Amino acid sequence: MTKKEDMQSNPPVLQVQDLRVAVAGRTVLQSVSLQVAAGAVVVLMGANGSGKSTLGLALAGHPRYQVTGGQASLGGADLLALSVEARARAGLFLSFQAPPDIPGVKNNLFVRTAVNAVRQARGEAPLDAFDFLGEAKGAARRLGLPEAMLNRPVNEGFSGGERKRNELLQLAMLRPRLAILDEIDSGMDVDGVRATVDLVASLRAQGTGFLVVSHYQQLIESLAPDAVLRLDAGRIAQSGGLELVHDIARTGYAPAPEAIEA
Amino acid sequence: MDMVTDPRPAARAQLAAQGWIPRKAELFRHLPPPPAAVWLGESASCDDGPADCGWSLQQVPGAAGAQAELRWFDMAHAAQRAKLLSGLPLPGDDAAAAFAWAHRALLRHALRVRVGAAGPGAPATVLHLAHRGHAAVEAPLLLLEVEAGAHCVLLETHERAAGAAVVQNLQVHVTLEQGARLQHLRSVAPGAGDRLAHHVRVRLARDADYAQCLLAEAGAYHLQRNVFDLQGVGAQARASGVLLGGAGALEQQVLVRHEAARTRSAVEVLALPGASAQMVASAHTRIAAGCDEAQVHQRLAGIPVAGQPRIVLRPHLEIHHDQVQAAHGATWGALPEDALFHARQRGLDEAAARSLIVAGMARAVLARAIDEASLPPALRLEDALAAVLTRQFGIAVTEAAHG
Repeated sequence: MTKKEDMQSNPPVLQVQDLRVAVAGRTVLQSVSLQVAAGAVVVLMGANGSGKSTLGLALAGHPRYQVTGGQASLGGADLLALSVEARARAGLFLSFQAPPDIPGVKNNLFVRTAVNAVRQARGEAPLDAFDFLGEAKGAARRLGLPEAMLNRPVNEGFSGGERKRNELLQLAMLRPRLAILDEIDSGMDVDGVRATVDLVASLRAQGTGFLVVSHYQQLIESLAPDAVLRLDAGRIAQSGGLELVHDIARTGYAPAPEAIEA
Repeated sequence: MDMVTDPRPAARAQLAAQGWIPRKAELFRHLPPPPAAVWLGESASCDDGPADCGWSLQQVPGAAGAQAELRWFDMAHAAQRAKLLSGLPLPGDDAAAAFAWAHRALLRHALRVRVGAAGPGAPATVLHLAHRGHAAVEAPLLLLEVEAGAHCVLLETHERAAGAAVVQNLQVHVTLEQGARLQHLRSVAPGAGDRLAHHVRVRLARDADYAQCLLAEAGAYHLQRNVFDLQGVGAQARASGVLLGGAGALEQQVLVRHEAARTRSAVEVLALPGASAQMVASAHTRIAAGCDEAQVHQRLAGIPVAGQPRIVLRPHLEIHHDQVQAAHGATWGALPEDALFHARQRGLDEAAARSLIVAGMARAVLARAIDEASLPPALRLEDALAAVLTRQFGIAVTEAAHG
């Protein structure tokens, strides 16, 4: 069995069926269905405004993104019935397109509090400061994030690339079941992109499934995705493999043939 | 009026003649103070107090040897009284002067601290002055003089005996000589029934540098009033205040007077009231004519921690010169929704996320005036902040909060 076949045979960690989402009374996602298996990477592409970020935020439970229809499950549990934090503790991680500042809260405090909240939910003992710092420093080093940034307030004064690396640091420390990476490559230099690919590969080998939103062909190719989906007008308009990425690179986000026929 | 020989009856007479602060006085209209009788008290309950007038110097572990000289004054002794009052500015002519007259009418003892320069490259003189309330109505006085070129770090804390509510009208006069530097950390936590009015007046000579961090809790009435006089060229003052309270009243007023060229000031206040608190934060900066290249920054913010409390923010600039830079703003709003969601998405429950963000915002405001990381641990307001958040809002700032 090939690696891809193996991935596809894994039970889905995330299953989304006919999801419909409204923001401020306007329906952004009409009907989205997809699944991500444990250890799989699914890439989501689409033109600006097609609803990619909306999907991530709705799955994470952002209060402004109202799910008005459909279902979503994480590891078989009804994701939509859970609070924001319960989704995170169940293993859903969203890396933000624009990670916010949290003034006055040191990064190492924030991440350790988050890690221990998740560990507690899993029935694991909390990490003490010493063990946490050892792990965090190692992760920061692998991601090219200066160690000093662990001691600075979350994202305050960070560059765009540093913010993204900081999201990856949280991903590395939290080791979720499913990670949604929303344009993680934007603002990142080539070393950052390489570190992203390495981290995804490492977590993938441990069973983390990924839904990756990106426009960046080189990153997508490096991730060797199991599937590529194209979102258009609030629906999954096309699915395929890397050939779809190449088509999009060549022709842009022209209306999908099915959409034209319809 | 001969204040040196007979100040207390004279002050009482002055107060009677000019009257107390009118309820509609602009300076106090959002939170009118209790009447004069409260601050003057009954003769039996007034401040005869101990000779140290409640002030004591605490040991600061890890701090270098202090270059400070402490002297207590007793108003009952004519020579001491004359010496003390000769260096004390007269009450002004604004509405707040009534507090100064009420203070003089009650004044019994005072402490003067003089900090000397230890020489180039020497560490700062580190002091912890603790005030212990000892009377139902009291009027403590602290004079702090920092000599030219000296650097002092002062933690000023206020404790109260358990039991009946107290009334405290405190006056602090700070003088910074040329090139002197003072980092002033203040923590004031009244009981729910206490009525407090603290007045801190700072005069800065050429190139002097003053920074204040204030952590204050609401009481039955609580006023924190600062007046900074930037008298020398290049003098600068920064003040950060964090106002907290689930209930009760709290007002911080900061008046900055720029009187020389190249002076700089920055005032930032963050009001974090609970559902039934009333809070007022006002900053008034005046730049006199001739203050070339003066720089002014004011930022006032109010964020309800619970419910819909009353918050009044009053930024005010008065500029009498062209070549200056000034910025001011006031924002009233909720906790940042994106940060709250981000924290919850990482697994923190809503209460923990709110706690973390509120504590962080308070810490960030204080850090903009004084970087606590450079101070001995015993001087930092971190523990006091954690205690206030727990006391006022049930917010638990855990051990992990110290990072």
